[in-house]
Amino acid sequence: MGNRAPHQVAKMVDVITWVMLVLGSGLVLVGGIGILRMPDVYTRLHAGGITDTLGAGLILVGLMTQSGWGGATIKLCLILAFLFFTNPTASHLLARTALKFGVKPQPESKKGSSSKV
Amino acid sequence: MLLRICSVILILFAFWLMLSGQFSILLLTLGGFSALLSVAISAQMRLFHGKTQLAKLVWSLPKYWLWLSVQIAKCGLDVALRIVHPKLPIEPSFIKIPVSKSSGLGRTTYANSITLTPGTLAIKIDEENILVHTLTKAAGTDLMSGEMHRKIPLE
Repeated sequence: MGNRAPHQVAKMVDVITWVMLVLGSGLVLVGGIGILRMPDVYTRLHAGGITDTLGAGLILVGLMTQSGWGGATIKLCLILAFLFFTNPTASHLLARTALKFGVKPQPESKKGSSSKV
Repeated sequence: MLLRICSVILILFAFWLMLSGQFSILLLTLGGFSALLSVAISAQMRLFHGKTQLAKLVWSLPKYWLWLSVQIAKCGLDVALRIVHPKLPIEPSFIKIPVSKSSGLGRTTYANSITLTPGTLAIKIDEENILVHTLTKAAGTDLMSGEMHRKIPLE
């Protein structure tokens, strides 16, 4: 042990941070590609969802590993929590408004299948 | 109800302390006042009349969040793979999911969880059903199994 252990722990935390940030950025990129590739507004919202949940989540958790136990980490947690409450609200409103104004899904998808109890 | 109001004041004040990190008399007083004011406004809006037991949620809700995070990671990776797949293998469709939560909070949590999970998107909510847009067949059958509905610790 001695005085080498803390140094190694810090290095490991750095590696974890890097992995999370790179993975998170990659998923944000994939979300963006998805928005371009998907055929209509509803499927595009699914692609955007990846950016908001997994992408932003991984990046924020990666930053938390660097900020240590303190005010900054709590604030990062709060950002994550607010993101997870506001993102579905916005997606839901976009989709509902699109449906209300008659935006047709592309390609024609089957509507209204079974509703089991 | 008095107990609930007092505990909310305490939680809000602790929240203030956590975020400010300052302990001068002025800021403590301001924090106390803002906690009281928030509770007064909430009481005016009748937010303390519900039956939800806060103490029970302290344990069960984080457990649900953990389960939901795993779910989000799994579905997110699946959707991400489909996006980068050259053929874009998606089968979008609308399905109706039955919901038997009596409280507005329970239904909102269910619909929000559905939307948060990549591949499913809650569009319309009423007393009995949620209209969901699904990106794949598998996402629809997963929702139909009702596992998420059972895991939500709200009535």
